[in-house]
Amino acid sequence: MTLDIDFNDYHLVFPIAIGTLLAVLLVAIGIKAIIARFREGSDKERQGFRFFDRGFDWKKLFGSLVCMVLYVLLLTPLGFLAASILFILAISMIYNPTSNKRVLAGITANAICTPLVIWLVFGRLLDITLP
Amino acid sequence: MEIFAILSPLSFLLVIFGVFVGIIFGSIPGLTATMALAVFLPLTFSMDLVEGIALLLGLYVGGISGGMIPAALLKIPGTPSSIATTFDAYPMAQKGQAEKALKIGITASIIGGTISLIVLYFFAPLLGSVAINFTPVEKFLIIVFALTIIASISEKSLLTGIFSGVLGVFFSLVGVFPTNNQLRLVPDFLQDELYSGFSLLPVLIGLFGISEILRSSEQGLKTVTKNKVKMTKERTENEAKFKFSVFKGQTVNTVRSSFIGTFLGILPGVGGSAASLMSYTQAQNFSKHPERLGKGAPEGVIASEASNNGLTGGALVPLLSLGIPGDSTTAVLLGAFVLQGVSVGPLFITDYPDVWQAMIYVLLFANIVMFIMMFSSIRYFARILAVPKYILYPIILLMCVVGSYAINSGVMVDVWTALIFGALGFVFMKIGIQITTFLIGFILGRALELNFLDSMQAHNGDLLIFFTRSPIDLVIWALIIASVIFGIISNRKKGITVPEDQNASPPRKADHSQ
Repeated sequence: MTLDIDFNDYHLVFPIAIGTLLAVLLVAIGIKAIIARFREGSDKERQGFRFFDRGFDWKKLFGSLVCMVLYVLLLTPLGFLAASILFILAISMIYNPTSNKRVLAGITANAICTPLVIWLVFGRLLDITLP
Repeated sequence: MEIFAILSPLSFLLVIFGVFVGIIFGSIPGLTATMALAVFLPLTFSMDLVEGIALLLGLYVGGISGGMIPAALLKIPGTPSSIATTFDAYPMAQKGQAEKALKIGITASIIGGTISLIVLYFFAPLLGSVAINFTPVEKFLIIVFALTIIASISEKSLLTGIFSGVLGVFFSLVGVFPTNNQLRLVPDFLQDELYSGFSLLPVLIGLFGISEILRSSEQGLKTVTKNKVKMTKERTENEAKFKFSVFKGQTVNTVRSSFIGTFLGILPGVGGSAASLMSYTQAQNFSKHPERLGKGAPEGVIASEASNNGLTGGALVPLLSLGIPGDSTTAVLLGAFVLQGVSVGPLFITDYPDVWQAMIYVLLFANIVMFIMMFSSIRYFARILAVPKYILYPIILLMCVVGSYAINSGVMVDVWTALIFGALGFVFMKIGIQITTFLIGFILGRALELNFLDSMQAHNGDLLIFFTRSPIDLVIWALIIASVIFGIISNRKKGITVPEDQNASPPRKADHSQ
C-alpha cells in the first residue's frame, strides 16, 4: 500500500483526507440518529431539537453580540478609551437595564475605570499595543 | 537557595497575584480557570517566559481550587472540576459547617496538588526521554491516540467526539502550507488576513471567554441563588469546627483521589469534572459508610478536591513531554509557550532545564499560596459571589478584545477571529460539538499533518510503515484501539444508565463524563 503524492500537491492531502473523514462521520452520525428515531418509534412524544433554550433571554444574547461587533468596528475610528467606555456602558445597560441611580453610578464608574486601568497597565506599564 | 536563583521576586509576586485572581475566577460560576488563563495570557506578552508561566500557573492552581466555594455555598460548581464537591460540601454547609467543608477541601487540594507535582517531576522527564526517539511515524500515531482518547471520554457519543476533534484538525489546516508555500481552504478575498491561518490565542479567547459569556447572556445572567447558604458565624459546637484530625482514616482516600486526578490529567483532553466524579465514585465504592456520602461526608469533599488539584500536575505531563496539552487549561498554557517562541515537546526538559525547574517551584509555591490564602480568608472570598455579573462580564469581554488584539501586536483580524470563534463556540455548545476536543484537534492538527507527510516522504509513501517501523508503533495502535473500544463500551453503559439516573445527584458508576 503506497501513497504517491506530487510535491506540489502536498498541501492538499490533508484538507481532502480530513474533509472526506468529516463527511463520512457526518453521514454516520446522521444514520445513527435516524436509527435512534426509528427505534424510539412514535409511541413517545419526541422532543424536537431546540437551538436556543426555552424562553431564552434574546435581548441579552443578541444585545451583547451586537455590542461586541459594534465595539470592534468602532475601535479604530474612536480610539481605545472612548470606544471601550461606550462599550461597557452599553453592554452593562443591556445586561442590567435599570433606572436605579446607585446601580447606574456603579456602571458608569466601572465603564470609566476599567478601560482606564487597562489602558494604564497594558498600554503604559507593560507596553502592549492597544487599539 | 536554588529557588531564588531561578525565580525572580517578580515571579513570586505574579504567582500570588495569579492565585488570587484565579480563586476569584474559580469561585464565580460561569467563569472558569481556563477563561482566567485565556484572559490573562496577553499580559504575559511583555514578561519573560518564567514570569509569564508563574502568573499562568498561579491562575491555574487558584482557579481549580476556587471552584469549591460556590460548590459548597450555592450548590453550583464554580468550575466544572468542582462538580462532585457539591455532593457533600453543600449538605455540610446546610448543617452550618460551610467553613469546615471548605477547609477540608482546601487541605485536600494542597495534598492533591503536591502529589501530582511529584508525579510530574519524575514522570515527565521519563516520558520525554522515551519520546525523544520518536520519528514522525510515532509522533503521528501519538497524536491520533490523543484524539481518540479525548473522543472516547466525550460526554455525548464517540462519533460526535471524533467529529469534534477532526473538525478542529480541519480548522487548523486553513492558511499556508509551509513546505510548498501553497494556500488552502482560504477564500480569495481573505488571502492576506488568513495567510497563516487562525492564530491559536484568539481562538482560545473566543472559545473559552466570549462563548461562555454568550451562553450566560442567553440564560439571562442569572445565578441561581435560591440554594444559597450563608457562612454563618462559627458555631460553637465541636462538630462544626475544622480540625486536621478529619483526615484521620482518610489517608487512603486522599492519596487515591490525588492519583486518580493526576492520572486522568495525564490523559489528554480529560477534564477536571471527570476526575472529580471518578474519584468520588471510587470513594463511594471503598467507603466504610457509603450511605453517608452525598449527605455531607467529609470524605466526599476530600475525594473531589484532592483529585481536581491532582489534575494540575498531571495535565502538565503530556504537555511538557510530548507537546500535547492534557486539558483545555494546559492548552492555553501551550499558548504562552507559543507566544514566547518556545516549542514544547520531548526536548523541552533538556533544552530548557531552568524553565522546567522554575515550573516545579512555581507549582509548589502556588499550592502553598493557595492554601494560605484560602485557609486564612475563605470568608472574604465567599463574598465574591455577591459581585454582580453585569459589572464583571463587560470587564472580561473588554479583556478578551484587548487580549486578542495585543497578541500579534495589533492585528484586527485576531479580534475578529476571537469574536467568530466566540460565536462558533456558542453554536458548538448547542449542537453538541465538544469544545475541548475541537480545541485539541485544532492545536494538534498541523503537527498531525506534518508528521504524516514527513513519514510518507521518508518511506516513499508506504502506508504500512505506520505498523511496521518499530514495535512501539504496535503498542500505540493497541492504545488507540483500546481507547476506541473503551469509548464504545462507556457509551453503551451511559445509554443504559442515563434514563434511570437523571435525578440522582451523586452519580452512579458509569457516569463519569463531564
